[in-house]
Amino acid sequence: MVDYIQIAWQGLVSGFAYALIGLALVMVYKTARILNFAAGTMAGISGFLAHWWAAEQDMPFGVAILFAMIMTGAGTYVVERLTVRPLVKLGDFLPIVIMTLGVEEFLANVSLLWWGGTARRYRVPGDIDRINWLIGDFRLNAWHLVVAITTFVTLSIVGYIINQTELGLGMKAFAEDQDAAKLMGIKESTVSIWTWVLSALVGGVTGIVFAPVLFLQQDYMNIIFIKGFVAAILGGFLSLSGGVAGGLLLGELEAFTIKWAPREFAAALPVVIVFIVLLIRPHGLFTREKGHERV
Amino acid sequence: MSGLSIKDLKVGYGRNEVIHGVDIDVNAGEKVALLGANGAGKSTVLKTISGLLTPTEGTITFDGDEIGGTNPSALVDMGVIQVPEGRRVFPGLNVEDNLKVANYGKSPDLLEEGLETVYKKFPILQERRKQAAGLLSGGQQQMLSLSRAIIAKPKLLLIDEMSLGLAPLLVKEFYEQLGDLFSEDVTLLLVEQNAGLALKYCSRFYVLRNGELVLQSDSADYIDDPTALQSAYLGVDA
Amino acid sequence: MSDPIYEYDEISTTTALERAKIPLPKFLKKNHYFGFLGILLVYLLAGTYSEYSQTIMNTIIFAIIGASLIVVFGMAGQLTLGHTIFVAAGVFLSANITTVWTRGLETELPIAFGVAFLLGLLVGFPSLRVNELYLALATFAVAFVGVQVLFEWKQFSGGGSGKPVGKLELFGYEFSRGPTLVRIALVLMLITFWVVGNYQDGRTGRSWNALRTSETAARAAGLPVAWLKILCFGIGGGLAAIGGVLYAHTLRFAIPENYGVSLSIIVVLALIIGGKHRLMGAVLGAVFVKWLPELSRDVQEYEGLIYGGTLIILTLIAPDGLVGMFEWLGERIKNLKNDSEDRKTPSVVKETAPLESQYLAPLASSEAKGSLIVRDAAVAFGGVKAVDGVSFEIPAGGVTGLIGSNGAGKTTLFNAITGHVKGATGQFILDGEEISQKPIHNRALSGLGRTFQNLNLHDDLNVLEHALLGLDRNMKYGRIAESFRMPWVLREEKNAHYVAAELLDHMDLLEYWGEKVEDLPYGLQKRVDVVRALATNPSILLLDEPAAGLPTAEALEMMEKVQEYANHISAGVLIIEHNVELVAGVSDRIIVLDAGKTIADGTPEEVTRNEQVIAAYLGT
Repeated sequence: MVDYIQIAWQGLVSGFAYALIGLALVMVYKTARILNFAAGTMAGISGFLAHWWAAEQDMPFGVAILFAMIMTGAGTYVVERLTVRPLVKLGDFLPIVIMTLGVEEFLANVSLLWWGGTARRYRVPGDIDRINWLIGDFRLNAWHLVVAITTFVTLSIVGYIINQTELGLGMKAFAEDQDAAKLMGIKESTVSIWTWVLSALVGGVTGIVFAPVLFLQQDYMNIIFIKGFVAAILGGFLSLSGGVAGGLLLGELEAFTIKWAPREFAAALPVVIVFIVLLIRPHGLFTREKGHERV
Repeated sequence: MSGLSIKDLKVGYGRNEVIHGVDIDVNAGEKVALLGANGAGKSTVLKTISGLLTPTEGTITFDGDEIGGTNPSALVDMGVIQVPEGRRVFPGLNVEDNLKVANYGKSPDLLEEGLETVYKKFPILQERRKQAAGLLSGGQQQMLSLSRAIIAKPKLLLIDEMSLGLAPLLVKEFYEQLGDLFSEDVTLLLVEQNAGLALKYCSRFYVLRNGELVLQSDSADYIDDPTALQSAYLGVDA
Repeated sequence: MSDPIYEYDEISTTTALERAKIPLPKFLKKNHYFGFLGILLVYLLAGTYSEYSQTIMNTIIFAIIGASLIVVFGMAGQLTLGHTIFVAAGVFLSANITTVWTRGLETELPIAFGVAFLLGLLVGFPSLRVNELYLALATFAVAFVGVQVLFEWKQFSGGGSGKPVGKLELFGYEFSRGPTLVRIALVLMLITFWVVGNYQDGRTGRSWNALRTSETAARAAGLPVAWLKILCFGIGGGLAAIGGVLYAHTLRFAIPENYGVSLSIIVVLALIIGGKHRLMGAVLGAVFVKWLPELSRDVQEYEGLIYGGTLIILTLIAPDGLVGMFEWLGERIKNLKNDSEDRKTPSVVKETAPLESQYLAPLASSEAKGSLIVRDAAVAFGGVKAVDGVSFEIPAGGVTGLIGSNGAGKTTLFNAITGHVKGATGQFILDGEEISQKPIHNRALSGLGRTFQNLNLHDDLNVLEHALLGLDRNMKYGRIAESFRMPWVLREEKNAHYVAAELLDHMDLLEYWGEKVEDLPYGLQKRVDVVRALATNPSILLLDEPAAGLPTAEALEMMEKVQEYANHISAGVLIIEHNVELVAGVSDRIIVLDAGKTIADGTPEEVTRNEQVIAAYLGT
């Protein structure tokens, strides 16, 4: 019995990563109908920055995180202004997607040059990732608990912004009907910038917090990006909470599959899920067909 | 001059010119109708005034400022508010959120004031304020759409085909209420297919056909027999 | 003695195609000769520059993969980021076949192609369900996960350390690597480019290009879009696997890690940088990606920066890649030279009426077709009934007008008839055949031809190609024959070119045959939309606002031509129009819709005097 709980917890922890990245992807897709291919690499760089500063440059952990987040936000701002904005006017999504591919390659190379191909040291305050509590037969890692808390906090903050602030309202309106939103006085460029920055910050948090779990190697966030995408597909890509739920679900499915299925199948699980969802319910598990989605 | 002045307006979609040089004047506080069969280009004119489209030629002046090609959000700040065709409420947002959007970027006090006004005029909106706007009936959505305009405190109000898809009795009611909903000195340009109703409320009108103005007159001259407009609309003699 | 073809003041019986000097499809064109020459050059030099053997090999392989990607991405427009899964299939099949089965290229190549083809059909399936955006990510996921699967499938792939590749053999003859391998690769490249080029010139390429630029219109022309999408993945995959086999032999070792996401992205980048519509683009892209690192060690370190940066810059300023830039330069230079001369083709004054030409005359029919029965058509969007129980019967061969105020449901009714709107109920019977349940392209094949309110033309294709597109459905040659440009393929293509030219001539479009449609003025674009529909030889032609945006005189002229043609083939015409004057002038009968229901149905005189109609338009 405890075995199940352990596996379920394990699945939940990875699920948090997928949920967060899924959220980041859906956010950008909902407002701009763009898929950000650079999301994984961007999250990875945030993680590298924070831990590099904290572990190798002896910066206090909190300060390192703060700086990393600021850099992430600023960098995204620049990328959005320089590359996304000019292409949005064209109306065709394809160039923008291709451009994010270019950004991905570019950033991946930057990361490689700066930090090299071998895994880097990460810093966990108080080394609490070595602390494991035993509750009966159930082992709870302290850092995993931190991850869980961080996820909840992040989701709450994003939820607050989307649902309780005027900016969030603008973003929601814009996602539903661009022209009508403009007629209400909502500025397209403002919504666009904030969506990208917010999405990047969520990715950044994920990259930083999961570095000790996944280890800081080159492209470590790429697999999370893929699974975040699967999470978004499960959720229907137009529902923020659907993306989150999809991530958690994927984490659980994965954890149990690894336990009982042959290794090749477990590795192929994400793609299998994509195929199945597309076959049976292409608009996602958590959205109704005619898009009266709840955020 | 706090009115709207459009001179020699030409608008195109891609290579296709849809409006071929149109002159429209609406004096401050006047209520003017823009009539015509569908496909005539009426909505295109409104979209251009609101900044969703850019004129290829010609000028649009409001309140003394040239506004052709301005960003839509800047125009909203200037008080140019449109009630769009088909209502265009945000279906996934609830009624109250739809109303809040109309106050975007403005002070929260204005919102409180606006909500009070709107709920008094349309109590059913208050009743359903937490319901998704997509679930409202056509008439209720029109109430919502008009309410958004009320909250935005327009100086120049553009209404696009209020009658579209609504039961005639309901439309009559809305027209009768218009004077009540907006202040007397609001400048109004009303696009409508239904000439009869529009003429009762507006003092002057223009008729658009295939992107060109074919007739303009005082409503008084046609108010008793709108069918005389038929040839202007259809281009076919009765 | 002047050549009769160029004397226009003499009575001439030449065909439209000859008058407009449209080049006929040939077995080999100029490009083929240049390509062949280029490959021959490298072939002969392969022995001399052996220190560059590896790089040349890599370039060739990349060019082959690029060509295979042109099929999927350049032509059919499916952005796939998992293309290297097919390369990987080729690599590992090769490794296994040469070591375990100890066979040579004669086995490796067909099996690699075959397996990858089938794999492609499977991978292509999501393209039917999701938009292009999702597809890009879905294929990205496939690439990523594909590598993981390979890792785990140790039997097949040798796990992380990979598998060695056996000897390079062909029918028992063993070859050493080096120049020979390069030569073999060149031959394979020749074949691959030949096949892809043949598709570009044939109906499959036209179909792919059509579905890329406007799926809606492609379906309306009778193209089986779903199958075409899956097919492009199959063929593209199979060709990519050939590259994989070559990789196997040049690296002599197959490692899963090499064929993952990174390579997938680079392959797409290379093609985009080179130019995704031309085979030359595949070559330029391959050269860019494989020779740049040769310039210096530093470049190797900054690969991602350079590729990524180049890609970003190109998307912003030159979306058609290097090839596009060169073509653009070429155009400018040509324009400078031709400034003084008249750029249009010489006068193409008709001497023989196109309808009487040997190509269009056979299409004449005295048997009227196009009878359409609509029973209880209904379409609901959300709670709104856009079309609410419309019924009418149109006799074969008649011209019927459909008018009504905004939101009356006219275009929606059209879409219900042609199948372009989901959730329509009711019965539609065309010439006695019930089409209510058929998908769009089958309805088109049953005889429905239509134009669109917003044209839905195919950017990138020229006017002639639009006409050919309509004719494609009647072509009988198979796709395998097309790959190798068999004689009967050429014959049918030539004939189609003649017919298309006559059609263009009839609609007064002949002199613009080579222009890209996006460069044409609006009025001409509308005519191209019509030509495309006419070329399908419809039983009934559905015209959606053909006069919108046109001055009345031009509209009337066009309608005259359309009617003439419709009479020629005895097809019916159903036309939506706002210009009541126009419709009244051309129709035998007018149906009036209001709020989704029919409110009048009679002769133009009856209808324009009908009080209900006047009220509906004026709203009293």
